[in-house]
Parts: sequence; structure tokens; C-alpha cells
Amino acid sequence: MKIDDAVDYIRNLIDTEIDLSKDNFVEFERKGKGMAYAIDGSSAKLFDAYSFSVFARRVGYVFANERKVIERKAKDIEIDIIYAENADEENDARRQKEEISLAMECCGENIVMIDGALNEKIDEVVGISKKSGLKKGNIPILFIIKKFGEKNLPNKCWYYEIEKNVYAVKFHPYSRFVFRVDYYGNDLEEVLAEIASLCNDVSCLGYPYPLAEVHRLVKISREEAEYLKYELQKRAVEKGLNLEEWEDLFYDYHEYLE
Amino acid sequence: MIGRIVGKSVGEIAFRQNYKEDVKIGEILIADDKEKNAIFFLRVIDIQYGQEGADKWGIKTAGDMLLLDERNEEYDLREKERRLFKICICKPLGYVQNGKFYKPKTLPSHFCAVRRATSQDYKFLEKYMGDIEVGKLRSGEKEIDVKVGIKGELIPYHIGIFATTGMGKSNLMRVFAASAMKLGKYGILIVDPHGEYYEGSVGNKGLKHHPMAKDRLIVYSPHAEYGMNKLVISAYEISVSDLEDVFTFSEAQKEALYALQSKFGRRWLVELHERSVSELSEIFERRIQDITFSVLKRRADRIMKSEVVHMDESVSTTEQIIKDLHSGKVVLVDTSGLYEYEELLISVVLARKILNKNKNLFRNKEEFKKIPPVLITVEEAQRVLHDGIFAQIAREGRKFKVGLCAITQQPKLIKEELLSQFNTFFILGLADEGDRNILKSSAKQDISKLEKEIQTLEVGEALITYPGAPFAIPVKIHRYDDYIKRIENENKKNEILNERIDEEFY
Repeated sequence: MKIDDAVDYIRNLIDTEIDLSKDNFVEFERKGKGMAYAIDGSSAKLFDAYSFSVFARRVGYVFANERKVIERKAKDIEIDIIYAENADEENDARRQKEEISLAMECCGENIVMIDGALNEKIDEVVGISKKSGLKKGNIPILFIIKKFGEKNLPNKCWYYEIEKNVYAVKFHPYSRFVFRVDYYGNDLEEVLAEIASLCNDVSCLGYPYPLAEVHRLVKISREEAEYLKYELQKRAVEKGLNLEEWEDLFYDYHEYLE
Repeated sequence: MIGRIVGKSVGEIAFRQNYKEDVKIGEILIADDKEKNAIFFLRVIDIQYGQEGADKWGIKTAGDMLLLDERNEEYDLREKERRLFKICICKPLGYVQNGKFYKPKTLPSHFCAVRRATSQDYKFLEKYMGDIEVGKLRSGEKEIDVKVGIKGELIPYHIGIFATTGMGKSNLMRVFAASAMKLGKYGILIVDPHGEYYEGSVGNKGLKHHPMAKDRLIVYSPHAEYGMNKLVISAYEISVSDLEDVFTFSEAQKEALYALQSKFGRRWLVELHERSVSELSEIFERRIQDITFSVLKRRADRIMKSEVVHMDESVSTTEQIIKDLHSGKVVLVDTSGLYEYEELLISVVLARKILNKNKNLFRNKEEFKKIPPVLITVEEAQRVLHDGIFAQIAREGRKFKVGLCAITQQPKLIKEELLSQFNTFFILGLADEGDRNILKSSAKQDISKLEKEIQTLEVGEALITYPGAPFAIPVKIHRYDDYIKRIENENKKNEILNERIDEEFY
């Protein structure tokens, strides 16, 4: 496909007439006050021996109200060796499990938000995804819903039920983004209204700021990953491993190419 | 703590500033290096915005703020103390380790804490400070309790005072003179074309108000009042080269002038004034055109009519002025009310006489040793610092203990070669880039990165550069009135102390 053909294809997709029922867009009021836990995890692949990979993962939480962060905690970075062909997927699954596990620890009276969709039914946790693989035809569903929502309920907070327990939500009247929200509990509007009270930080307008905070908190930066790689290698040598063997094991030709 | 160091190199240090702190250009801060047991002096030369996150984040956030402002929507920016910051770019000035100052040849440790300096940190500077006190050390806009002065021994190595109008030149000059009067060991000649130094100006005191003025200030004026001396020079003291510094002459006129000087010696100007054009033509066997003599005669007549020029060889105050200077006095020559050529002529004649006197004394080492350094101040120095006597003093004065103090707001109009002869610079606020550039290339310290600081200097703030100083010294010049008040108080204290000693002795 040439560039022009690709552009035409995308334009046709966007222009496809899809009708969504107006009635399915539900407006909700933002609460003045709110309080929630935000959970997130981060991982980095440190070494890849093809038959197995070495990952680093870290999860953490932020507890905040509408004004400030009350508590933040990042767990220690864990090193994990994964023997699997689809090591990356397995790593993602393990990270999510760790996030859910932490979320369950935090559950109580407060809302617990987690970055991403929920793959299982957990009443106490709200999954909020920046991206979603859900689509209508070949078009990302969030794109369509946002387009309709802006037309139907401009400058309002609203939600749209995509499927049972999965919603598209606009948390701030002037947000440019609509997020996928997974929620299995019974107080949807109450929960959304409270989360919306955490979405007026101008630096991430319309997104719960505790989630942005926890993302920054747990993120394993490139520098951290480099340090971990160095530490692993150093400790390996200290424990008698031959450096040449180590390098042969994790030899990545791409690094040399770049 | 103000911040922590994050980079960059030996030539330029950057630190992340604590959100709540306010740092200003020109501030001198301390990087407290516990690892090296040293303190590094950093001068803030630039302040930049910083944010955690991508560059676009700030632009997007500002856009959202504008949108919400327009819609009267409330919003918040949380954790800004952590997410927003400023990066201060500093020029390392050097470091002190075990009480000794070193040029900046090494880096402070990573993440070294940066704090404000205390007067204790500047203790090491005391040995670089001279006896002619002009102000206090400054860090940005803050005054630090460390006296700043230049060494009197630097006087013959010339001083430049550079500032745009209103930035505090005359206050600095008065403070300098006040300090010299207090010491009584340097001869300072101040030619005052605006009459601002003696009486002072509205709301500001003058040199006559100095508590030691009676003994240490000598005033010469064409309109001498009580306590002043009559200013007069003899026509016999004026040489052709003096006139060349004051007027412009054609080659033919110059030849005629030198011919006159050759023929009549010291009487040449009187002869030119008294004789008719035809007489002069006769004397020079018509080798010089009448028209040339006519022009020169008109000039001579004008000079001879001046109230400060006397026909009598013995009537002159120049010798007395030199004596006063050699006895460590501040001599104020009031030329206000005179024509510009008269003021220049007085300056030029005095400057030449002082240089020649010191040159003569130089032959007698014992006598020469006894005389103090003499400083000749020249207002609007760009008018005279080209050729002639002032250029000569700039080039050779140091050998004969004669220094120039060039005051100008346009240093770019002074020859670079002459400017490079000036060892001490007082740089006050200078608006013109050309003026700043010429100083950058001539200063005895590297001030190339201090562009912003010089631009933002407030009235009375200055940078001083001189050889031997560890770096360009930021100073807040004393306010003259306050300074003489302090001297007065010090004198009173000393008197009381002396009285007590006497009483106890007897």
C-alpha cells in the first residue's frame, strides 16, 4: 500500500457512518470531594536469552484526595526470569496479577483505581484504560463514542455503556479524552462522580491525577533499567560467572547495529 | 537549601532550584561539597524553566489552562513544587579548600547541595580587598557584610568607571574620594565640570560635608569662595601639545605653532597673543601664511581672555596643586561655569605637569619613594582618551605613580589599546551592548558570561575587576551620605577612646 492509499483507507474508516443511540449517553455530575487509591505497575526487559528473559517489575500505589496526595508507596523492584515463548505477554500478565493483588490489599472504604482493563470480575476495583482494543467494525470504539458524545453532550461529564460492565467515560467537561472504564460494582454513577473530582488537574485534565502520579512513581526508567543490568552483570561476575559467557548468553546483535 | 547540582561542566554548573526559593541573576551561591571538604562559589548567570516530563506537556497544560480560564472553570495544578522547577546556570568562580582559594579547575560532587553564602564563606576575600573602601559585597541584590575596597597601590595602574547616566557614577566617585580622604595617603585630583562634587546635589551631600574635609580636601575654583583657592594657570605653562589635546588644528597650523614654540619658548602663547599678524609674519620671514597666524591668534586671544589663564609667569596654582596631591590630599578643581575648552585645557595642563613632575622625581629614588600615588580623574573620558597627555599617562603613568581614573558612559569610544592599560574596572549598569563588549575584551577577569548581570545592575550596584581579584567582585557601592556619616561616627568613637586613654595616662 502506498502512503496515499493508506491515508484514503484511514479517511474512509473515519467517515464510516455509525449511529449510536443518544439515549445511551448518560450525563453525570462531578462530586466536589473524592478520595481514591490508584494502582499501577511498570516493567522492563533487562536481558533476553531467547529461551528465557529477565524482567524487572515494580508496582505501587498512590492514595489521594481531590486536593493532594496523601500517601504514595512504590514496592521494591522484583527481578523475574520467564521461560516462555511469549515472555512479554507472560510478563504483562504477571504484572497485572501483582497490580490486582496490591489493589485487593488496598480495598476497603475507598475507591481503588487500576491502570488498565479488568480481566476478571472484581467489584471493588475500577479499571481505567487510556487505550482500548474494543472496536466497532474496524474503528476504535472510543473514537466513535467520543465523536458522538461531543455532539450530544458537549462540555459535560458523561458515560456510555459499551458492553456490560465496560464504559466509555468523559471525566471532565473540557477534557479531550474519553477513557475505558471497567466496573463490576453497583454504584456506577456515584463512583464515576467521585473519580471525576480527581480529574481537574490541569496537567492531565480529565484523567484521574492519582493514576498519573502512580504511573510516574512506579515507572522503571531507562536509567534504572541500565543500572539493574549493570548490577546483575556485576553480581554475576562476583559470584564467579565468566563475563564472556554472560555476554554470549545475552548477546543482542541489534545493540551493535544501533 | 536552594538546590542540588545536576550538571554540566567545569566551565558551567547547573543546579535544580527548589521551587520555593527565589534566585536572582548575579547571586553568588555556595555549593557545599562535603565529599571534597570544599565550598564552591557559583555566580548565577542565567535562570531557565524546567519541568518533569516532556516539553510538550507544558505547552499542552498552558493550553488547557487558557481554555479553562476562558470558561471560568476552576482547576488545579497539583504537586507543582515537585513537578515544576527552575534550572540555574552558574559560572563557577572557584573553590575554597583548607582556607585557600583555587580557580575553578574541578567539579563539585554530583547532586552537591547549593545554599546561600554567609559572610563567613567570604572570609577568604578579605586578603584581596584594598584600603580604599567603596562598598560592600553583594550577592544579587543582597548586601553581604564584607567590605569591598581596592588597593591604593593599584592607582597608578589606572581605573575605569563605566556607567550609563543615573547609575551612580558620581556617588561612586564621591565615595572613592571620601575613602581617600579618610586614609590621607593618596593624591586624588578631581576635575569637576558639573560642580556636583563639592556642594553635592539636591538631597545628596558633597565632599565639603566630609568630616575630614577641612584637612584633607583642597578646592580650587575660578570663583573661589571662603575656604577655596583661586584656580589659575599661567600662559607660560601651556604647551603646543596641550592645545593639540583641546583643539583641532590643520597641519599648517601645527607647523606654525611649533615654529612659535621653537622661537619663543615658554612665551610662545603670550607672543602669539600680543603680536600682530604682520609682526609675526615678519618674524617668520613670511614662511607662514597670514591666514594661519590669524586663526591661531584668534585662538590664543580666546585663551588669554579666559579667567583661568594668567599672563604672568609666576601666577599659577599648578605647583601648589601638585604639592597638595603629593601630600595625600584630595584636590577638587571646580571647572563648572567654564567653557569646555577651558575645562579641558586645565585638565590637560595639570595632567602634563603632574606627569612631568613625577618623572623628574623618579630620577631621585629616595624622593620618588616618598610621594604617594596620584590619581587624575577625567570625566567624559572618551573625549580625551585618544592621543595626547592622557593617552601618554595611560601608557607610561604606572612607572611614575600617576594613574588615570577614566569616567565614561561610552567605553566603546575609547581606543581598545588604551582601555587595556586600565587594570581596575568599576562596571555599573551599561545599557549599550557595544559598551559591554569592549569591556568584556579588556577586563582583567573573565566577564564574558556576565552579560545578563551587567544588563540588570541596579543603581549603585557594580562589578569590580582588577588583577589579583579571585573573580569579578559584585559590590553595592556605599551611599555617600551614609558613608561619611559612618566615618564621622568612627572618628567620634576614636576621639572618645583617645580622651579616655589620655585621662587614664595622666
